[in-house]
Amino acid sequence: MMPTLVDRLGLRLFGACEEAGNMLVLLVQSLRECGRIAEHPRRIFVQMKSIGNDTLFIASAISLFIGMTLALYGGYTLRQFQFTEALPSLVANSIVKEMAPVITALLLAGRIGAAIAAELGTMRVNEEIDALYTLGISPIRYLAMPRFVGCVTMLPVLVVYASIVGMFGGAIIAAAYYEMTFGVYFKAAFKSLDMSAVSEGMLKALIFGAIVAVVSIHRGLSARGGAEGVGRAITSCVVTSFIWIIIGDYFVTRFMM
Amino acid sequence: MTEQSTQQPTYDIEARDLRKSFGDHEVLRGVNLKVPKGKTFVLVGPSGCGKSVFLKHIVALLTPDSGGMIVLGKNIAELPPAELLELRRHVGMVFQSSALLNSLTVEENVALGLAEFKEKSPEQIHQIVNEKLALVEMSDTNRLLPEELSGGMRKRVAVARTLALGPEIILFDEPTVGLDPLLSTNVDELILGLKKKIGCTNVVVTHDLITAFRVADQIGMFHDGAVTALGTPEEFRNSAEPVVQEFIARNRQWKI
Repeated sequence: MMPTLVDRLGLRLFGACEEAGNMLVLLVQSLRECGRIAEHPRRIFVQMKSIGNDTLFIASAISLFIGMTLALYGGYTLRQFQFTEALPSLVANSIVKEMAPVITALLLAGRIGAAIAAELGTMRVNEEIDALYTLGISPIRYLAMPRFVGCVTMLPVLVVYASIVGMFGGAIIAAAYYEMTFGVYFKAAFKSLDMSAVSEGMLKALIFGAIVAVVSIHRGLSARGGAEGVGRAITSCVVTSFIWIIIGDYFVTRFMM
Repeated sequence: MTEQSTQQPTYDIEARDLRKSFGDHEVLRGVNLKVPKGKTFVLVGPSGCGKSVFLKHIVALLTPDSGGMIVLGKNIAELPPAELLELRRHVGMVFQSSALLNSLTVEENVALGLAEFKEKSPEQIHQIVNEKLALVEMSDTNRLLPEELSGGMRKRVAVARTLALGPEIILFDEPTVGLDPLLSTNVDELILGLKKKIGCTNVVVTHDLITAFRVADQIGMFHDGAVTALGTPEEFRNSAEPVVQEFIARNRQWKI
């Protein structure tokens, strides 16, 4: 008998729940292994260095232009109400609370998450993960934990950096089009940022870092079917991370309001 | 053909009515098998008959749907994860693809298990690595990457990596597949040498009867997810089982 639409939807829902459960287990296992961070400093440092190196340039370019675009739009609207002095506050809050965490997380997912899924997926299809098991080595400790720690610690650093670069982008536009000096702009921008704005940005960075790490590690470790399977794992890792980052963004924003 | 022995041997591996399905396809249909300590046991059978699936149950890379797998006296299905990892250190496996970590050098690959557990100093680990590489005739390859090695060399390094942990059982999954006849002979001699030098229990899964007859103390044949024939190489060769005779005839034909 052909499965009905309801059957197919039910199976999909069941599959999605199972997958979410597996990711939750992976998150708990990775967090538990974090107790052994001190035993593997080199492995973790390698991951942090690679995340920083691979994303810094793109993060700089994206943040700079997002800051500039925000200032252009914001300044144009505020000028209509003769309220351009609010421009630094508008740019700083938008960047720190929303744009920097989300854009940097999406960048992390596309650049680092995809690389993690590709690396672990290739190891999976080449039986290297099975080989680790047979040597008595936990792949969670050896492979997952350093990548998890790398993503969760480096994303907040990248977000701070992207926020500063983004605000600088806004300052360029403020100086060029709205007769505001860098000094005035930055003084007003930092004055408008309170603890809750910074902690919202940092909380998002931590959560999005964990999302990218767990999704990419999970997709990599569960890759099947040779090169094609690795390709599927990479695509799925990026798409799933994007969806969870955007959903997570809404809930954290709602929670922090 | 039945398992015959005047003395009661001790068994390193014992499968009891082992069953495993993938979806609707039942791969293992009640496997009962005992592998005596210190012997080389060869499992033969056509591709897709469940040999490698059985092998992966021994090292708990797969868990059975029902039945038991007793390895070194422990039922692996009942072991908590920490004890399972510990047991795996006593059961080495040489994969069909060798499964060396491509980003690590030969030395780092062989040292992997030892370095992870931090029970030995770096100097001791280096010494063990050199010993094991010498044992498989791969001395002075420490700094090479797996991609710089031939298929046969990679297999030897994989054996050295397994030996570094001092396992009591070594599992070989299709050790000669993809190798030319000369390299296959080389790998066969390596397996025979290991038994002589280390005295460990070997389980070899292969569809190559030349390897099977050369290295085996005992041969078992898998057919339709169960063991259909079991005995010494001589008993196996003279088996009255039609599937065994057909397999021997086809293997001979294929080799020519």
